[in-house]
Amino acid sequence: MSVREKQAWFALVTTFLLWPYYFATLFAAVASRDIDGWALLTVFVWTLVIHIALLLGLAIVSARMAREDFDAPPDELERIIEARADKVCRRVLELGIAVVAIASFWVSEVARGEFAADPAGATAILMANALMVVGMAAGLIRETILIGHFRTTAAA
Amino acid sequence: MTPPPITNTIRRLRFDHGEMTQAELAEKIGMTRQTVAAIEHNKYSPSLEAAFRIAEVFGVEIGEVFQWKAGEKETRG
Repeated sequence: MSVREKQAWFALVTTFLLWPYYFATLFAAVASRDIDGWALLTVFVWTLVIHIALLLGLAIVSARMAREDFDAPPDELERIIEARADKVCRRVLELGIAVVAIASFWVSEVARGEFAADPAGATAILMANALMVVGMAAGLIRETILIGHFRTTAAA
Repeated sequence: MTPPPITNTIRRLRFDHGEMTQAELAEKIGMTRQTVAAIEHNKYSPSLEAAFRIAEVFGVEIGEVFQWKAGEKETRG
């Protein structure tokens, strides 16, 4: 397995391991109609820091174990595979952002009704998280496509 | 994915060059071992530059490494 495929696996697995806690916290806050922005931000920052540290650590350790350079430039096949994955990722991002933008009217309406204490704050938090979900989904799709291509083309 | 209409003799050339490993060839041409394996198993057609590099490593003409097969299929059909 190449360094790049390993990194794609790490990104996929660590995302599924770490981020459900953050989204569970968010959904619990939304369900209770009481969003504490700072508490949510704290969980977000910690999750992000742990995720980056974990990704970096795993990349370095796996590259050392395989005696490979963990930040070596991609070769021509890896560049082609990454370009294909990036193309799909970009499309998902474009579509997702458009959907979030259209849904913003509905989100602000819901926030006005359900979060009467701070509808503007709730709208901002919901919108920011919706955009984050779009970014994360696009990232996960990208990593999945990378892994798929590496498995079918470069796995040997 | 349809395999490219190209065959290659990389496996034999590696054997003829002291059982050169895919990793050794990959290092010589600046690619990963996985990409060399993909080329060798005909899952990926390398760029012209990479093809020349591979031929250079083995000290042979590019035509000895890669052979175009599409024409043969058309002739047979």
